[in-house]
Amino acid sequence: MMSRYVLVIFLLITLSQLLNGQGIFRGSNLMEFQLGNLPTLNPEYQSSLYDQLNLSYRYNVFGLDARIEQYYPSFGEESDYRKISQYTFQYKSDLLDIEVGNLYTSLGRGLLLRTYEIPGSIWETRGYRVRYGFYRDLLGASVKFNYKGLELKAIRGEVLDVTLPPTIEEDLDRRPDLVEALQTSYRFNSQSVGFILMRHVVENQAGPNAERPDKYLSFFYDGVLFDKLTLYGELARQLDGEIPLTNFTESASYGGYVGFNFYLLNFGASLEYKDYHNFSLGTGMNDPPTLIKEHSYRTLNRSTHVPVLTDENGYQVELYMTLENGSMFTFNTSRSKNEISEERQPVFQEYFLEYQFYPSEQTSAKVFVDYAKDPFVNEVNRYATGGYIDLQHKKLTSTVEFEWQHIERETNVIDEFSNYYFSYTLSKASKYSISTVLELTYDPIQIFDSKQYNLYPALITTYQPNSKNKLTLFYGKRRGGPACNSGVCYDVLDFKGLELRLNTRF
Amino acid sequence: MLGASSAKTLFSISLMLVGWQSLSQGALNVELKNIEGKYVTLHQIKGEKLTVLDFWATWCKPCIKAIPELEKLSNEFEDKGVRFVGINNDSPRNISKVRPISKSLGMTYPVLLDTEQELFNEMLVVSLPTLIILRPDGEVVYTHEGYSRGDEVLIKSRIEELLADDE
Repeated sequence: MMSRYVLVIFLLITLSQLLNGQGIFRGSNLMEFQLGNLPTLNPEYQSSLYDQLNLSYRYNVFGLDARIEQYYPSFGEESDYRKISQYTFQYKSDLLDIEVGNLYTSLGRGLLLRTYEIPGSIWETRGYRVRYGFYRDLLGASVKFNYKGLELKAIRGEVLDVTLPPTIEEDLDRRPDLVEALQTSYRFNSQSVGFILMRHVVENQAGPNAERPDKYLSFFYDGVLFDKLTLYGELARQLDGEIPLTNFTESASYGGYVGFNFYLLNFGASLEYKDYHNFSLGTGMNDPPTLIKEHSYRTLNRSTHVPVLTDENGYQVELYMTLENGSMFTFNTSRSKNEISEERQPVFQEYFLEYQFYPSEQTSAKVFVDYAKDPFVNEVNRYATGGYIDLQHKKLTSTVEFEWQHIERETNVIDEFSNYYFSYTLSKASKYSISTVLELTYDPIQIFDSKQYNLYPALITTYQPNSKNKLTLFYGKRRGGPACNSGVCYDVLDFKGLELRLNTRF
Repeated sequence: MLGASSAKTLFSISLMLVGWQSLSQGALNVELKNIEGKYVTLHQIKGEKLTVLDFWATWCKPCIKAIPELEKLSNEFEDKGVRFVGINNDSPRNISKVRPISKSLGMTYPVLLDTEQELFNEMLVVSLPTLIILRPDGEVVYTHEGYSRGDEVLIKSRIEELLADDE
C-alpha cells in the first residue's frame, strides 16, 4: 500500500514538473480538524485531523486522477489511516471513452446502479468513529462507445459499501457487490430509447457466489415529447427463470419509474410515479428516484422519508410559478405507500408551499408552510413553518432564518413536541461571514438527563482570503440525525466542540 | 481489483502517451445533455472570449437565489463574447424538476445536465454553487464558491477585468 502511495505521488509531481506548460495539473485539498466529541460521550475533548487531497492531470485525451486520504485521531491507534483511496486513468475521444480505476457511473436513472460522491462531506458512524470521504464508487472499468446516436456503455467493477470505514479493509470486504452491465441506447432528435442488462454477484468471505448471480433487465425512454413536455420512463426487473417477465406479483423483483415535466411561460410542473418491489440490491448499490422533496430547510431536511425499496409506491408533484416581479411560488406534494404486511401499510404524505419574494430592492425573503405524516416512523402529524430574510446593507448583508416544527409521535403514548431553529448571519460577499445558530428541541428522543429540552448553540465563521482558499470555523454544539444532501440521505452524528475546515484548490 | 503492479503499468503507459500529445482540452470535451434533450460539449457552446460555468442544483438554496442575478449578467455580457452555461448537478432524485424550474426562473442561457458528476469531477468542484470562468482553450481563470447577495458585483467586475486583459 505504501509503495503505491509513494509511486503515485512521485509520478504526479514528476509529471507536473516535466510537462509544465504542456498539460493541466490541478488539485484540491480538504482538511478538517476537530476538537470535541459526541455530546453524550467522555472525554469531552478529543482531537482528530482528516485530510483529503485530490490530484488531477489532463493532457489532451488522457487523464490521471488520484485521491489520498489521511486520518489521525488522538484516540484509538487502530483508527488512523493513510491511503490512496482512489485513482483513475481515463481516455476520452469523440468515439470512445475509457475509464479504469475508481469510477462514478450510473445505469439509467439509478434503478439498478448509481455510484456517487457527496462533495465536501466527511462520513463518520457511531460504531466505528472513523472519518472518511463520503462516496460510493465503483472500482473497475467502464468503456463507452458513441457513434451517430448509438451509445454503448459496458461496466465491470465492485461497488464500495460506504458504511464500512477504510480501517476495516483487512478484516471485511468493503466491496461485496460485483457488477457487470451493458447499457445500450439510441438517440434520435431529442429522444432516446435503450435497455440495460446487468449481472450482480454478491461476494462472500469465502469467495464469489458465481454459481447463481442475479440478472436484471431494464428498458428506458427519455425524450422531449412536445416542445414543452418531456418524459422519462424506466422499467427494471430481475430475470428469474421461474417467474415470467410479465409477472409483477408478490414474488417478483422490479422497479418502475415515470416522470413528466412541463412548462408554459412562467409556469413549470414535474409529475413523477414510482413502484419498487423487492428492489433493494446488494449493500445499497442502486438508488432509484425517491420522489420525496429534498428540503433545504434544516428541520424539514432532517425529517425526510427514506424510501423502503422492499415495497414502496407513490407519486410526487412539484409546481413552480414565477411572477413578473421575480417572486416565485413552489408547491410540492408527495405520497408513498409501503406494503410491509397485510396489517401494516403505512402511507407517507407531505404538502409543502414556499413563496420567495422581494419586499424591497435591498431585501429578499422566503416563507414556507409544510404538513406531513410519516407513520413508518410513527409520526402521525408534522407541521412546520418558517422562512428567511436577507437585508442588504451598504457593504454587508444580514440574513435571519427561523423555523418551527411541531410533531405528534405515536408510540405507546402520543408525544407532542416542537423543534426550533434560528440563525443570524452577517456576511461580506466573497470575503467573510459570521453566523450564530440556535437549535432547540423538546423531542424526548433527543433529551438526556433530567432536562426538559436540548439546546444546540453554535458560532460559525467563514473567511476567504482569495478565491482558492476558504476557512470555516465551527464552535458549539451541532444536532445530528438524518440529513439529505445531493439526493442522498444519511445519518450525521451530533458534535460538541471546535471544528476547523480548510478548503484549498490549486 | 487493480493491484500495485497494474497501477504502475497504467501510469508508465500514460507517461509515454502524454509525450505525443498536445494541449489539454479537458472539460471542453465532456458531452452532456441539455434540458432540451440535445447532447452538446462545452467546446460547441463556449463563449468567444469567456465561458462562465455555474454549477447548481434544485435543492441548493443559494444556487436558486443566484440564478436571477446570473441571468442579468448573462444578458449584459452575451454580446461581448461571454457565454454563461448552467451545469445542473441534481441526482436522479431531482432531475425531473430541472427543466420546469429553469424555465419558470426564465433562464435563457443553456443548462446542461451533469447527473453523473462528470464535469463536476473534471473541474474539481467541491461545493454548490460554484462558478468557474474559462478561457476559450479551457484554462480556468476564476473560481467562486458559494453565493450571498452582492457576489454578483464581484463576479461582474472579474469578468470585466478578464475582458480588459484580452484587449
